[in-house]
Amino acid sequence: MNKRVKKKWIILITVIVVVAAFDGLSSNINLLDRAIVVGTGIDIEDGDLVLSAQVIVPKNSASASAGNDFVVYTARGKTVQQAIENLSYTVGLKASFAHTNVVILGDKLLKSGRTDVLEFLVKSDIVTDNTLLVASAGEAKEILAVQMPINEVASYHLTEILQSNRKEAGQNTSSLKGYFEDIYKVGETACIPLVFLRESEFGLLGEGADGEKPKLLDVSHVVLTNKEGYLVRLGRRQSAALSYTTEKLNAGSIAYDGDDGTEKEAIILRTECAKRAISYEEVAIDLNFSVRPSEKYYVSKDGSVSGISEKEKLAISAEIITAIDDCFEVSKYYDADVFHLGEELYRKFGEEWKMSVGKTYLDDLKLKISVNVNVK
Amino acid sequence: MRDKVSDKIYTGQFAILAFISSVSFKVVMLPQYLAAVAGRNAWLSVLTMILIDGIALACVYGVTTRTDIRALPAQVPLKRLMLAVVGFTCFAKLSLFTGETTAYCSTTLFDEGLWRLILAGLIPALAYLTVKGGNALARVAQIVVWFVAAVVVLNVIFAENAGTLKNVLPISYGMKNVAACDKYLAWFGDFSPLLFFSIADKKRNGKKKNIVPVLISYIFILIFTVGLALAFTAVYGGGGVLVANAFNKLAIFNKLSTLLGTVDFTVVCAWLLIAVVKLALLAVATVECIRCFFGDRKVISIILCAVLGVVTFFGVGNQQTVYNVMTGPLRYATIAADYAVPLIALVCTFVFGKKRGQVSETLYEQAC
Repeated sequence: MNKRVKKKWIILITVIVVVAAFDGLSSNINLLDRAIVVGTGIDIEDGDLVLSAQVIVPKNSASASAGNDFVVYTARGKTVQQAIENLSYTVGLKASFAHTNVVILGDKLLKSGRTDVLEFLVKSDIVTDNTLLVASAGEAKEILAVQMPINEVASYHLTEILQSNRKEAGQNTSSLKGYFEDIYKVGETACIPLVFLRESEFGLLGEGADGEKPKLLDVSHVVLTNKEGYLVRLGRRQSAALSYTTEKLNAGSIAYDGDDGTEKEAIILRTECAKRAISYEEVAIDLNFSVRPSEKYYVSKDGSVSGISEKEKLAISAEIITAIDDCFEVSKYYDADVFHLGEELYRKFGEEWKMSVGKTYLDDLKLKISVNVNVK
Repeated sequence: MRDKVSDKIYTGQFAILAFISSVSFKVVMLPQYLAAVAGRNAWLSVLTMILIDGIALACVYGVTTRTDIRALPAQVPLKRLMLAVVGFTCFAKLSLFTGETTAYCSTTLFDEGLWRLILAGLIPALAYLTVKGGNALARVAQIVVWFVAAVVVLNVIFAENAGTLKNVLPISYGMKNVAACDKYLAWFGDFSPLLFFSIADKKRNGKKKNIVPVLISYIFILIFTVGLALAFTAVYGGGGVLVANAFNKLAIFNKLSTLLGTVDFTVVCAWLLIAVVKLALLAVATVECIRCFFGDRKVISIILCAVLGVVTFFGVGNQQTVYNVMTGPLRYATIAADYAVPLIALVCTFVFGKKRGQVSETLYEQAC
């Protein structure tokens, strides 16, 4: 073996030894020895934070059934960090939150003013910034523990509703990143979708079904928060109004009064929203709605075509304007700039405007809404 | 006397080293720091400094195409002063950026910190690259840049639009931007270590050197620094003040994020590679400065890296120390080393230099 080859071997062996020793010394925990958390809930009880974690329990090869099981573990702590550490003791494995899809915040926690919880999640690398954020009407752990008829794992089901179907369902969403992006905007207001349990109207059918009515997750409402915490829960209509101005929806529906006096429904195909500051005291919201009637078009014997008449288009516009106005009134009352109108003013008029109005600009602000409805 | 290790590189290698040197540590903590001072207009501060850096790069390129700082046709005391200033700044930056690298790795990649262990892996690698010298480092950079390019392409393909350019508005340049430039000066001006290289006159295939690779490199520097600062604001808006490790966080917004979890390992690997090259570049420059006063390259390299290990282990310790030192009075050394020295060196090259491309061995030996 010549000198050069010998030198290469020495280098190669050194590298292998260093890599092996590094791995050994680092005492990195194997993936199989970690508890992979897919959904997290945070509640508050007697001043302590209660962290609930939906953890994957991998099936071993001897298992008869396919797929994995999911268990909800809980742990308490004065801080999130402490609760996370305690969770590892409860589970018996190191809890890993790297693949957490959703964080659910309990109602009491949101109302407690513990803003340090969200701040910790934002500042730390425990969960990713695109993790979905949801508020619970009750306790967060109840939501995590519920078994859904379609997708048994609540956190996966929530993710599916909020992430994959958000446009189709006309759903408001919020991620950790989106939350603090909004909180740092002018007006310092963010919205978080609210989830609550609802009982299905009908029981399950099929072999083995006991007729028990399954639980459903409803996420059609939102709560408004600011830097200090919880502000108000918006109603379904107000929440829908908010989604018109924040998301480019692909679907969803809108109810309106038909020409014949009956209540009709239009399917929203697409919405577009543009906001612009007109003056220091006025902001315009221009909306474009593409809709179709919920029933199929047909031509009756008298030659009239069913669909959406011009008058009904105006009714749809009026419905949208009323909903947005309604939401705006609530936001004014709570001094919560949920439409981020202050941002529009700041972008157009800059620091001068910001310096001149202070924080309470909503009181004197007028909203000019125009809706253009196109029937497809 | 010069040893067998060569510091002659090709223009392409110079361009790659300039790119790596400039980009590597501007994409980690700097966007957050700048956002805290300049808010949504932080990108304008980056743009300002990169434009100034462009002048410094032009000066360094002008010098290296003719000679290198050791062989500069200038008075020996002046040359020694310049070497001392550059050497001091390079070592200071080396210590602090090593601290930033270990802090990043320990907070992002490991559960239990382990920064001392990371240091144990990093220091030998730096020592090896430093002993091998500038030419070997340039070749390493040439290999690394392909990996970086592949990772960037992958990220562009799978990118998910998570921001809006509205977050960047309103655009206004004010005193906040100037204050940000001043406070975070130490993160800029990265080209003085390249003064120890000299660009070879001809490539192997006979093509003459040209400025195009350097211009391309500068365009990429603009994209990766100003572009990243813009993207950072577009995604996080005013919330950027809470977001550490910018490149790591931005990389998460892709279509594979559910699989990747909190860290996009391809991006982390690419960054680690360029970080090691940058640190090695600073180490090589420091060694060359010391060598001009005394000692042998190998011995100095090993001692330097040992000292670096001790300084980082006992002195730098955590991110807060790095921040405090880099935003303290030390930052003004950057002006002297990274902006004044290249300019003076260029002036000396033109005023006192002989014919283009001639290296004065006599003056080199006098200084070193």
